[in-house]
Amino acid sequence: MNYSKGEMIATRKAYGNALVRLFPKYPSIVVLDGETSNSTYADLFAKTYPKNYFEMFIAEQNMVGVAMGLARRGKIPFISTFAAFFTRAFDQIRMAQYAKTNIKFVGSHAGVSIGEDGFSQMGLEDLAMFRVIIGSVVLYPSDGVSTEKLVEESVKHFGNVYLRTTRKETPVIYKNNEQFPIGGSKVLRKSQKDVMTIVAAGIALHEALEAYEMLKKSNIFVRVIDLYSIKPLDLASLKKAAEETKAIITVEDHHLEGGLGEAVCAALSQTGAKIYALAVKKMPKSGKPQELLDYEEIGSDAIVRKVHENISR
Amino acid sequence: METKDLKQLAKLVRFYILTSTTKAGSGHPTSSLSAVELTVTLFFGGFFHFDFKNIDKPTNDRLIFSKGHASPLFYSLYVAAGVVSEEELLTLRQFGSPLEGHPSMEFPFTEVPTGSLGQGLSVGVGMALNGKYLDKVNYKTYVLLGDSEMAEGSVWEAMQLASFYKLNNLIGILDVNRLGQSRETMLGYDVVTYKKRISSFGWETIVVKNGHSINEITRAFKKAIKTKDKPVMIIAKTIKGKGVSFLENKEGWHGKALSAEDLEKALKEL
Repeated sequence: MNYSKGEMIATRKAYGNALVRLFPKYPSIVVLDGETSNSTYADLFAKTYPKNYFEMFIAEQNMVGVAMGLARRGKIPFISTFAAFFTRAFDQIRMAQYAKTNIKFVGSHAGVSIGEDGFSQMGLEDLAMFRVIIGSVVLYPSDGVSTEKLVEESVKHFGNVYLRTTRKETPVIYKNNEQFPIGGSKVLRKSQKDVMTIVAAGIALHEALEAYEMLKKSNIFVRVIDLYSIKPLDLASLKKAAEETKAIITVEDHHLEGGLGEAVCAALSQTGAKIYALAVKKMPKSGKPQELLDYEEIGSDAIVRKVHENISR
Repeated sequence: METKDLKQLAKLVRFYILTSTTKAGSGHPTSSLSAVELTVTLFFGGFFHFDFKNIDKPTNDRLIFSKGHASPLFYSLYVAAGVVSEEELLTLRQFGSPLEGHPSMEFPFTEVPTGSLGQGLSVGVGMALNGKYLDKVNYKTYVLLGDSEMAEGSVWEAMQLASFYKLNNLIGILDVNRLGQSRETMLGYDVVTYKKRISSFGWETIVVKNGHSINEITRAFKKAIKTKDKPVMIIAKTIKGKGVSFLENKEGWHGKALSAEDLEKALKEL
């Protein structure tokens, strides 16, 4: 694994790279995909280890059932399709929690940031769906390094895991040796003068970092936290941020209900912290990724506006 | 085991199904009764290879009760095999009992929890893929399906994929008892149409005209285990509530346990 900071790579591609890298160390890995492997990048694995890849075609319910069977025979299935299409297999996912399986679900093309393809392809309910599963782990990496590390953490963790990947390329922000334990988070920007904390993950984290730079020019400082582990949550870091800054703004490319923002709200409900949740609240449509992020008010401009709004109060 | 012994065992399993559900006060005795001969023959007719003392043995055959509501039958088979006690069977559906309403992982012989219909065949495909292509172990995967769940699209998703991967180690047993929860199924007893549809998905099909004839079922299993390059579906015409005259082929008995009074009448008929 060798990424350089600033290098552009989609987290979905880093997922494919990770599988290829990890298989020799974890030969129980089996990869399934719902005939989207050249989009989810499961095809990188399929080309390298064809005997351990099984095409499931466009039949997601069956794919989850097959994964249950493989998991119960001691394999570690990594199963991928667009995040949106796992929703039609929710009954099977629901039963997998009772089967106490060890399935790694990987949903790509999450959020409105996929752009032009429009709402039918946008995963906007997936975080809610996987958060609700008993004992599940929900991970949402933002760059190549964190994706590769979280894929490996998923292998080491016995249980059902959901990993959300992004279509768009994003810059690498972490060093190759950075560690990403499940249940952790990363404080990426921090100072004594932080007025607020922006908590984000995935594509929205890059919007938060851009907002940080914009605010800094006006001499306004915010804390930025990468909440790559949405379940379990890093409660300690969140509490600390809530104590040390005036308010928390969560940003996510997912519907408000059941997403990262609600997870943070629930976790901090006893602290009295002020929390503002930026999420997809309007009916999405086709357009350029940045146009959609701005339209849904989860882009850097919207974050900056929200900070200003609160400072002036 | 010989046919006459299997017949005796089938009676015993019926006794277990009826007494345990009446004790529990709920459950699905009629859906269990239709598949008694099918599963007793599988278990004790020399087909199901399973080391009951070593559940984790990699060569063990796998059995998935996709029609999870037939759990009284599922548990009774293990009582008949001598690995679950009669006392334990009578804890069916009680809080804290591993014998839950539908099979759960609390019961040591459950492969996956079932009861949400239409899912078991997919799980079977996963297990068969593992046996054939990954572990390369010669076990068979048996899936007991209800006829009502054939309306679920996911069953047909599994069906297509199983033939694509030539899973001749996967054997489905379709219990065509005609009746669903509230009415007759779309195809009723039309096993010819089931056969056509399933064959068209690339499966070998074997129709068992009398799903309570141990000899006929035995012949079907003998043929099924020899199939090359194709998954096999045994399509068996059965009678819901079989063995109890006032339950047989009757609507209105789905998911109902017998009263103590009716149980007494039923047991006399066995």
